Amino acid sequence: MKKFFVIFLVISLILSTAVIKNSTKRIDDDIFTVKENLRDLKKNYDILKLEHDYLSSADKLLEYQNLYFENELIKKDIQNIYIIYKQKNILTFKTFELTNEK
Amino acid sequence: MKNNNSKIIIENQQNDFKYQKNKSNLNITFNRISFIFFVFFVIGLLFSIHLIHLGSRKTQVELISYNKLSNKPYRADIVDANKKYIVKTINSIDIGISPQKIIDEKKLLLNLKYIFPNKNYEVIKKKIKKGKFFYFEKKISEDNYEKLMQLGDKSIEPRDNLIRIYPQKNLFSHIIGQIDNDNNGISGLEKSLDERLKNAKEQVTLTVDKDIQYLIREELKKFNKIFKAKGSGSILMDINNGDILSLVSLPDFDPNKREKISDLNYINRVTKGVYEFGSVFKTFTIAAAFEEKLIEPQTKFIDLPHSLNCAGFKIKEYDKKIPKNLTAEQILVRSGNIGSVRIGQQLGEEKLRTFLSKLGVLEKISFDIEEVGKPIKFNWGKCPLATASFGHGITTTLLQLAKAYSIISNGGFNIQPRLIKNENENQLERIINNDVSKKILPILRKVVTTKEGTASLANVAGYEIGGKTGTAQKSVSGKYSNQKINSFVTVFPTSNPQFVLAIMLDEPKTNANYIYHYRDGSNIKYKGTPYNTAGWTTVEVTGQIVEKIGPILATKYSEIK
Repeated sequence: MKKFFVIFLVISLILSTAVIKNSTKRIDDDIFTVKENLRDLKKNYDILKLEHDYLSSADKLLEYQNLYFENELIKKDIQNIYIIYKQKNILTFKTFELTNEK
Repeated sequence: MKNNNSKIIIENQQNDFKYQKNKSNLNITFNRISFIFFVFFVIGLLFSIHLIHLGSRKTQVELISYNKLSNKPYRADIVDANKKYIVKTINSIDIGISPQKIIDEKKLLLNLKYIFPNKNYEVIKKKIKKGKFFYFEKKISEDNYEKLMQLGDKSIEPRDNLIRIYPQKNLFSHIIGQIDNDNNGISGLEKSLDERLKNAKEQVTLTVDKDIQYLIREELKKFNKIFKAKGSGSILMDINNGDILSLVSLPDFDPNKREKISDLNYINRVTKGVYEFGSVFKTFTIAAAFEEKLIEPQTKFIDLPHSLNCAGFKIKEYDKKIPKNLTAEQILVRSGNIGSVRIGQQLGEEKLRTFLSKLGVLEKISFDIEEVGKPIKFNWGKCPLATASFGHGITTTLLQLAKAYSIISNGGFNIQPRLIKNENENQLERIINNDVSKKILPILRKVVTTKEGTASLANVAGYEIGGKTGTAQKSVSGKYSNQKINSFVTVFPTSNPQFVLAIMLDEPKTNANYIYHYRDGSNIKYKGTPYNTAGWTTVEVTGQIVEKIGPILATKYSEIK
C-alpha cells in the first residue's frame, strides 16, 4: 500500500509538472512577443532621442537662435535668480544665494 | 483450533511469477498490479519528458532572433550626467558579393541596376571577374535591404556592422577618444572601457554635463584666439566626490571623421600634458606648513631679501614692490617667491615631499582614460627644495593640480577624479587635517578680492571665488624659453567649497586690443594686456567662464539654502 502511494505520488507530480509547464508555454510566447515589441519601440525611441539630443544641443540651439531671432542670448546674473516659496496659496520670493559672503 | 493449525493450505500460485537466481542472493518478485504500475510509470515518464521538452524549447522565431543578436557587433552607448547622448551606436548592414556563388551574372547585375541605378557597374564587373568577396554597398537602408533579400541570390551576402555616432562632435573628443575600423577603442574612454562597452547591456553614464562643457569650450576657443595661444585646457570638478563636470582640451577633433591624429598639438593638455605650473604650487608649500603646525596665517616673516642665490641660480621676486616684512598669508596673496622659499626651508625636504605625495601631484595618477601624463621625476636637494617651494622645476598635470586643490579645500578628504558616474559613494579617507582648509580658503579668497592679490579680474559677484595664479616659463628641450604656461586654479564658493576650476593657456601672447572690465565696482575699462602673466590672461578667462556657467552650477549642482 505504501509503495502504491509513493509511486502514485511520483507519477502525479511528474504529470502535473508537465501539464503546468505546457500551459505556461502560451504565456511564454506572449511574453516573448511583448518583449520583441518593446525592443522595437526602444529602438525607435533611441533614434528619436538621438535626433532630439542633436537638435537640442547648445551648438544647434545657438545656430537656430542666430537664424530665427535677432536678439542675442541674455546672460543670467546669479543675483537675478530667485527661489519661489508657496505657503497657503501665497507666493514669496527669496534671493538665491550660493555663498555666505556679505 | 488445533485442527485448524494442522490444516495444509494450498495457495494458488498460478498467477505468480517467481524468479530466483541461484548463484546470488538477488530476489526480485513482481506481481501483476505492480507490473501494470511500472508500465504506466514508464509511459508517464516518457510523456512528461516530451511535454517538458516542448514547453522549454525556444520557438523558431526566438532562436533566429537570439542568433541574430549574438552575432551582431555591439558597443554600448555613452551618455552625460543628464542622460544626453555623447556616443550612440547604430546597427547597420553592409552588402557584399561573393563572385564564386554567382549563378547568373547578367541577371544579378540587372537586378542590382534596378535597385541601385546610380552605381558604376563597369567597376563592379571588374570586381566580380577578380573572384574575391567585395563590399557592394555599405550602411544600406532597410528598404533596399528588403529588396535585395527578395532577390534570393546566394551571392549577395549581408554583413552586420555598427556605426558609432558622436552627436556632440568635437565637444567630448579628448574624453571619448576614437575607435578603429574594427570597432576597437584606440583612445580615450573608447579604449579604456573597450571590454565594458562591448559587453555591457546598459549605457555608460558619465559625470560630465554637455551644456557646461559647451560653454567652457566656447570661452576657451574665444580666448585662444584673443591670446593667440597654442592650446589650452580646463577642468571643472566637484571637490567633494571627484566628479568631473567638464574637461576641455584645445585643439580638439571631430571623432565622427575618424581621422588619424599624429599632430602632438592635439595632446590632451589636461590629463596627458605635463607642465611646470609655477606659483600655484605655493599654496601647497603653505598648506604643508599649516598641516605640520609650523606656521599660522598671521606668522610674520621679517627682513625677506629681494633675491637669493642657490647653486649659482638667482631666485628673485617677480614683483619688485613686494615688502620685506610679510605674514604667511601675505606671501601667498602677493605670490612672494622668497617668502615661499623660507617656508619651504622651515618645512624641510621630507615634509614637503610627503605632503605633495599625499596630494598626488608627484606620481602618475590612476584615471578613467589611459592618456595620463607622468610627472618628471624631481631630484630633491637643498636648491630643488627652494625652487619647488615656489613651483619652479617641479612638474605635474592640470588634472592632478585640480585634485590637489580639491583635497586642500574639502577638509582634507582624498578624492579620485572620475569621469564615470558611480552611484555607490565610497567613504572618503581624510588625509589632511581639516584646519588646513579652514586656514587656506580665506587666503585664496584674498588673492581674488584684495588689491595686492593677483586675480582680481576673476572676482565675479555672487560666487565667492578664491584661487591662485601661476605663470611659468615653458621648458623646451631642457632649457627655459620665453614662452609661458599661464594657469589659474579656483575654488568656489570659498565659504562652502563645492567646485574646483583649473585653467591653463599654453604659450599665450598679449593682446593690445582686448578690453578688460575691472570687477571692483569701479566700472573702469582697460585696453590691452599689460603683462603676459596669469593675472591678465587665465584669470580673465576664468572670470568669463564662471559668469557663464555659474547660474547652471548654482541651480543644478548646488544645494539650495
